[in-house]
This record gives sequence, C-alpha cells and structure tokens, in this order.
Amino acid sequence: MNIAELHRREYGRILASLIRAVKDITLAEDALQEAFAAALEQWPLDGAPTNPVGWLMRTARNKAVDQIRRNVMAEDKRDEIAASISSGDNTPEPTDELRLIFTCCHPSLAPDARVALTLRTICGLTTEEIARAFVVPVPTLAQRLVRAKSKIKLAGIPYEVPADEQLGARLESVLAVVYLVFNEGYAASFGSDMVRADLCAEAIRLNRELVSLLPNESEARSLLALMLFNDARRTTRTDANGEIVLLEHQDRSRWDRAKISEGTELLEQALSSGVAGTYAVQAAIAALHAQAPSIDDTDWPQIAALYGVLLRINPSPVIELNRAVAIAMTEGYERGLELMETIELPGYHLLPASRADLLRRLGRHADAAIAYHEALALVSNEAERRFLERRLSEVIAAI
Amino acid sequence: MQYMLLVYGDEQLWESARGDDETSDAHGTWLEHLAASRRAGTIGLHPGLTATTLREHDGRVSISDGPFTEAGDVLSAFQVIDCDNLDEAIAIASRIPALHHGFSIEVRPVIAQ
Repeated sequence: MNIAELHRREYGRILASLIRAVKDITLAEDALQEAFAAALEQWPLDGAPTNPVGWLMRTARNKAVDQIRRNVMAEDKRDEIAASISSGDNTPEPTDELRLIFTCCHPSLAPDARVALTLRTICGLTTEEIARAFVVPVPTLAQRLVRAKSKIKLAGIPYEVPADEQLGARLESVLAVVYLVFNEGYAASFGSDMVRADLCAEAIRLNRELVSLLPNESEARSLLALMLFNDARRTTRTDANGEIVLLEHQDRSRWDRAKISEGTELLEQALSSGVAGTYAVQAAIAALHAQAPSIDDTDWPQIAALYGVLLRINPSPVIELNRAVAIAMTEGYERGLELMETIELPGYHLLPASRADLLRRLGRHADAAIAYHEALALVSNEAERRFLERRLSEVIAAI
Repeated sequence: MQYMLLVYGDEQLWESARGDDETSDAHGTWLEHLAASRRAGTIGLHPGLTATTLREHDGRVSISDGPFTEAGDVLSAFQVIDCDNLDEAIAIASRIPALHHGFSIEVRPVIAQ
C-alpha cells in the first residue's frame, strides 16, 4: 500500500486513537500530518516499515510530545502530559473512531460544522476539498473548522460514545450528517466534479463503519441500505453528455446488482428488528424502485403507501409531493395533479416540474409549458435546467 | 438579599476594548475592588460560540448550537453546576422543569479561575 492510499484508508482511524492519547484535536491533527510528512521522506529511502500504522502512531505521538514540550506551561504539568501521550500501544482501537464520530456530530455544534468536521477528521479530506465540495470559500470553511474545534475544547464536548439512554438521539445526529454528505455527492453527480461524487463513497464507507461498530442499531443499517440502492443507479442518471436520464429511461441492466443485493440484505436485517424508522421506510421505497424490472412493473401502490407511512412519522411537503407522484402513477395523472394543488412548497422547482410532467402526459401542452416556465424560474442545477428547457420546447412544439 | 449583576453586550466590542491599557486596568481595579469588598465572586463565561441551547419542541428536547433567545424571553434563573463534560451538563439542564413551559436553557462553559 502506498502512502497516499494509507492516508486515505487509515487517516481517520489513526487520528481518532491519537486524539484519545493527546486529548486535543488540533494537536493530534498537526502531529499526524507531521508523521505522514516524515513517512513521505523516510520510507522511500529506508523502505516502508512492517507495521506502517504502528509507525505512524508512534511517530505522531513523538511529534505531539515535542509540540507539548515547546508549549509554555508548568514543567511538571508538561511532563505529566508528555508521559501519558508516550505510553499506550500503537494499534488504533475501532471504538476510538466511533468516539470521534460522536464528538464531530455533537448536536451542540452547528450542522454545517458537524459535516465539515466529520469530513476533515474521520474521512481525512483536506480543507480545500471540503470547501470545493460544498461550494464555500476556503477561508470560510477553515474558519468553520477552527470555531468547531475551539467549541469542542472550551465547551467540554466529550470524546465518548454516548450512554445507552442518549445513544438513539445522538445517533440520529450522526446519521443525518452521513446522509447529508451522501446527498451532497449524489446531487452533484449531475455535474462532473469528481471530488463531489467521492462524497457518496465517503458516506457509504462511514456508514459501514457505523454498522460494524453499532450492529444493533437498525436505523444505521437502513440508511446504509438506502444509500446503496441510490448509489447503485447513480451512473445511469446521466448520459455521456452529462444530460439527465429520468428513472423511466435509465438502463436498468447497468444498475449495480451487487449494491442492490447488499442493500436488500441490510434492509431485511433492519426490518427484522421490528422497528421501522424513517430510513427503513425510505430504503424500502428505494428497494422497490431498485428491484422493479421497468417503470410500469414498479409497485406504485406500495410506494404510495410507504410515502404515507413516512408522512405520519415525519410530515413534510416534499414527502407529500413524492407521494402525489406515486399516486399519479397508480390512480391516474389527474389525481396526482389534484393532490399537488394542495401542496405548499414555495421556491422548490420540483413542484412545478412534477406538475408540468403530469400535464405533459395528459396532453395539456399549454398548461405544461406554463408549469415548466415556473420550474425554470426556480431551478439552480445546470443539468436540471437544460432538461427542463428541453421539455419546455417539446411541449411548445406540440401545442 | 442577594443580587446578580448580569453583563450583556457585544463580545467583539469588549474583545477589542480589553486590548487597551486603560480598559484593562479599569477591569483589573474593578475585580480587585469586588474581591476586597467581599461582596461577591466573579464568573467569566467563554464566548457565545461555545454555548448550547436546549428547548422543547413537540415534547422533545432539542439541542442546538449557540445562544438564542426569542423576543420576549427574559433571564429568569441561573445555576452553576460542576460536571465532567458537556453531555453531563446537558443531561442535568434537560431536567429543569421550566423547559416544559417554553423556557430555553443556555449551557455555557465557565472560564476556570
């Protein structure tokens, strides 16, 4: 394994264990960065050590001790800290990574800070990569990280897996971060930015860790299933020119069967636990799509019913819209339109876009054109804009 | 009777003012005076960005970043608690009964003396 790959695979794990030893995220980050720099310098000359992770841990500990010795503080305090950093073994513990995830996703941090911190520390993305992925200026993102780390330290956010009675609520916050990372990458796969598409892989990797570390948490399993189903068809959502391909026209033979069957297995395990949370229901919907041989052979009544379940757990106009689309596919386009009239989603382009689509299918081309115009006024993604413009000119030509 | 003196204001203005000698001296003199008069102790708080706010929504206590008050909210009580970490402080704060009556609880770390 080369050093870049080692960094990619082991960074979060090593950092997590290092933080437990040095009790300071910034100090651990700096020390680990220096250790990787030392590896880049020494390994090509001396050959890689037999235990590269242990070498990195030991070197980073030494760097941290050096750093502490340079700090201005009472000598006995300094020696005490240095001694505690030097002791302990150099094999990362899996629980450390879990501790770090819970710290980074603590609800007392701002949501965007949780995401940035998780990607920086657990996934080892650079500040520049995260800034690019979320389309914010690098200094803004850097500032966000500094503030978050300072809050962890000053406010005493613990470096611990929460107690059982808090675990459920705290895991929700962790899963929300994971799903946000995935969706950011998924939405961006309409574009061509590879860093952003990588976010999907990072979210899946992180969720796999959560499932293996918290095997009894069924919502973690369900979220992994949901992301796998979506990821299985990610590459078929656009054509060679980067244009959007709708679900009904996607080449289902190119959907990743391995991901779909892994998702199915995970979802079955999650559902067998008896409690179906929101991720389980969403995964069940994604599973019905992933397993359907074609758009017409999709179990739309079941999908509509599942959106109904989701609405009861978590009332939201976006879910109402999805339910209306599913109902349109089973009870007729007019019924779908009727339901959409009652949905209030100002500023959300998919409401007029969905209405436009049903009107188009009904042959009401002039009404469809008006709705496409409304959608175009709200859309921000370029690929989606081009798609809507294409549809608009089709319906205008048919008037 | 006991009274609590609450100092409200703009953190950033204070940060810059504290840099000049005059303000710094005045602050030091004030703290010495307070200590000598044995009237009270002083508790300094870490900046607002270290705050966590608890509030009840739909029967569930939500935890969020930063201090926030809504128009009409007035400080009604304060407690100083000794905890190992923020989670412990949140656990204690979430048992304050006023939380179920629309009050929010701000948890703010105290600067160690």
